Amino acid sequence: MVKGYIITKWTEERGLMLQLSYPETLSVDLDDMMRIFYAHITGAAEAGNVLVRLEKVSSNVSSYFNGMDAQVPFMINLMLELDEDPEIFGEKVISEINSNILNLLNALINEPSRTYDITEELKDYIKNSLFLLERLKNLSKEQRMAQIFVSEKGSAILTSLRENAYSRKELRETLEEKLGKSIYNLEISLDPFVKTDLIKQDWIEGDSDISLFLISDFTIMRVPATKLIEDAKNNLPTPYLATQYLEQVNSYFMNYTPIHEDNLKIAYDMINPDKYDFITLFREKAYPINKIPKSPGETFDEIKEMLNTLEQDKILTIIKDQKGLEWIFLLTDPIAQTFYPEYMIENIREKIAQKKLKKKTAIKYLELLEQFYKK
Amino acid sequence: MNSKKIKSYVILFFILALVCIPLLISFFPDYETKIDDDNFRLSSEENYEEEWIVNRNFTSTDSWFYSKGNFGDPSDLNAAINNEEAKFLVYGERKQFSKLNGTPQNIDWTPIKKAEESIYPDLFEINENGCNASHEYWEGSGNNLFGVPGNQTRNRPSVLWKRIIKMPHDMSDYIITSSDLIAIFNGTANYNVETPNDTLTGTNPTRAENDHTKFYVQFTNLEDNIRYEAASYEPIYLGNGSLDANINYGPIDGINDTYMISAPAEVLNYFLNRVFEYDYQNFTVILGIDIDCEDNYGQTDRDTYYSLLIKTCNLTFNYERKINQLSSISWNQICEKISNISNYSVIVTDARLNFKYKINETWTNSSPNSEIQILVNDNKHPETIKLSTATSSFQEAKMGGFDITNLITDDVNLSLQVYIADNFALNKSREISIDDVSLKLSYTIIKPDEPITEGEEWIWLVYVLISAMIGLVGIFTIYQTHFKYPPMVRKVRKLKKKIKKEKKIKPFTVNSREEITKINLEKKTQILNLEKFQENKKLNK
Repeated sequence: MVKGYIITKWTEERGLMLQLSYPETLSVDLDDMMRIFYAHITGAAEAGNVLVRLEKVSSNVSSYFNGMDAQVPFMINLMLELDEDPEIFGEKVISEINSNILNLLNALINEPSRTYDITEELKDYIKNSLFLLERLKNLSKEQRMAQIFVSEKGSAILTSLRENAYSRKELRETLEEKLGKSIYNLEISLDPFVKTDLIKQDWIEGDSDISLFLISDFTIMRVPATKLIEDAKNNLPTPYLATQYLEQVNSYFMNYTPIHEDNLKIAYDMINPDKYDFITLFREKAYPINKIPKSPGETFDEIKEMLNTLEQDKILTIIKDQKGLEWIFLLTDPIAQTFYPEYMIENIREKIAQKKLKKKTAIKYLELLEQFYKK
Repeated sequence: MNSKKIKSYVILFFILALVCIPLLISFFPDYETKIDDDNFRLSSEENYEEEWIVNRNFTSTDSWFYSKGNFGDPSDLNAAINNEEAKFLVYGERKQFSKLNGTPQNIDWTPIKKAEESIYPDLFEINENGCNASHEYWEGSGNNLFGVPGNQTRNRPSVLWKRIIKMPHDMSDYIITSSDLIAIFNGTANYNVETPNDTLTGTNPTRAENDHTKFYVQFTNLEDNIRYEAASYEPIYLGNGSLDANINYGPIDGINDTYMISAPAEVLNYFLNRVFEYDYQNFTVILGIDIDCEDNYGQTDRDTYYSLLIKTCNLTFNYERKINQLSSISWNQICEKISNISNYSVIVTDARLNFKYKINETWTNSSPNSEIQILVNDNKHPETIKLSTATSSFQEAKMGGFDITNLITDDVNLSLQVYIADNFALNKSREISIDDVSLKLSYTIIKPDEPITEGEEWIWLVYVLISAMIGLVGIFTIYQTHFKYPPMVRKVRKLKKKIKKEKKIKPFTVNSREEITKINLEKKTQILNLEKFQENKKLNK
């Protein structure tokens, strides 16, 4: 469970000071904060992220520092459990949150008259962010695949494993070469692969390291929303709306070809828990805008804003009925389509012929491919 | 499917075949075992007696062949058929070694030190009289009698001469059975040598072992791993006679030609057999002379050995062919099968085997257990004939013959085997002959009172059914090992098999990622019927 945020600032007069902790009950040890601060400034004291393990308070800290050159040097610390890693939330989420928190902190400095309001807004934002992070820990399988797809590291792992089987050590070295940075927590990076049954880890007799095999692959793409199409073919929700909807869907898929940029866009929508909730909601049924189920605390404007985003991304479409009431339909259903990596058979053959794959490894891989084949 | 599964299917097939075939056969009305209740018939018994051995007098080599056992030494034995007899040959021979005799010649012998740190005597040589050593121990200053400067430490010289003997045969196949070593030496020394009976007159006289020498003959292998002293002599009284220590030389004492004391013949045999265990072809004889001059006085001591001579060394030994235990050789005949007698049931009621045997020369006492054995279908009959009972004229193996009925199965494969039961030396080859081999079979044929049909009417159906069953099992096996799997898995299995066998593999036809994505998308959009939509759109335009 994510523990909370501790935000500190550095001043020339008083050194490291606590700016805010959320929840307020979260205990803060300034010595620990100093350790994190040193971890930042022992480099070039530039803006950046560090991950520090604090045994005393049993926490992993994902810390962002905006640099000593900043107007006010802030340190935004996400306090995690020891077994949690920021990577489990995806690479972009934390940085986005940090960026938004930093904007509010800067506003706090620059607009002293609004200190109270901004502080409340900041707390509110952190509260929502923590809620989002908790939700991100419980993604569905297809969301995890979308997360792999958008993640630089996940994508690099997938690309490598589509070529060949690797031992963990080999994979780490390959990734370090590809990404140009050290990989310390390959276990965490591999976690979504394991949870989505994309890879199988196994020992090969005589090898000192565990080997990784891709036994299932996926692609992110849009497909027609089957249930809604079936309904529309049955003139639901109304014959007029059904005709309109089918016309739009047919038009869209007439020219649709999955491309990487579009796939990235829909993958981001999939890993956003709020957007994903709407996608799953509209997979089943079209709703008039005034009857969309709302979560407690969600305002109509917030919902409308999110629907607009999804409409812009061509996931939803809004069709007015003959009375002028707006109905929300799922225009395209973003999915992570898994499939059997049959191309690996030829890859293995080639690698064996080129002596780039050991016989034992190839046999083990083929055994796994046989075992995990699904019609 | 792994090989275990395939095996289990094969076993299952055979079990099915074993169970089903008798059942199928029993369903046929003409089958011989079916009993017609209305017309019950008794079977008849016919008794016969027949000689079962072909070419029993060895008029030719027809129907007989010999074979050697795998144990022991097959080269010790041989077999042949001649003079209308089958012969077993046990090779024996006796040879003698006598190359080492007479006075040692310089060309044959090489002097060596006794040990790396030991010293040679003042003079050592092989002359016309033999191997000679001369030495004077002189503690004082100036040269001694042989021109060597006085030196207190030159009191224990030795000299050995070695000769490598190369045998004309591989001795691993021979045993030394008798040997004789005669070595003769003589010597002369001055009274200044202190011997046990001498009275010591000089400053602080002491004695422990006195001055003495030793002559000896040794056997060793080339690498000198073992060394046996075959003969030796220590003439402790050579130089007997007291002489005042202040006097350099006194009278000369001598020992005439004397035989060294040889080890007993059995011990010599043992020594020689042992050195041949290290090298089957070569061994070394050593002739040695040790001199030990004791420092007997507080003043300078002088001990003079004028000549210590090994005059003669004669070594002779006899060796005989080694016959190895467990060697065996057989005369064999594969006789007619019992089932060939008749299509009806045949019961062998008696089988009597007899033959005659002889030996050209009485069998050696060294191997009392060697024997002629009878084997039928590789099973040994308990009664045997000791080779020691063989005489030079033919005699019957057993009066009335051996009853081997219980060894007869459908097959009748007879072997008469000479079996060597001991390790021993054989001085002369032996020839064991056998002749007039007879196997009288008494048997009964049980016939029904009406001849049975051969069963041609139904046998084809059995074959058809068996073929069908084999076909079904084949189809089942092919299904289990191949068609049960989806085409994709078959590709995987094929590749795995080829990789395991390290065979060259042709490329596989598989879809790329892009193709798979395209196929998946097409499947998903099938629900839309885009083609129809496109046509409609064109029409509307």
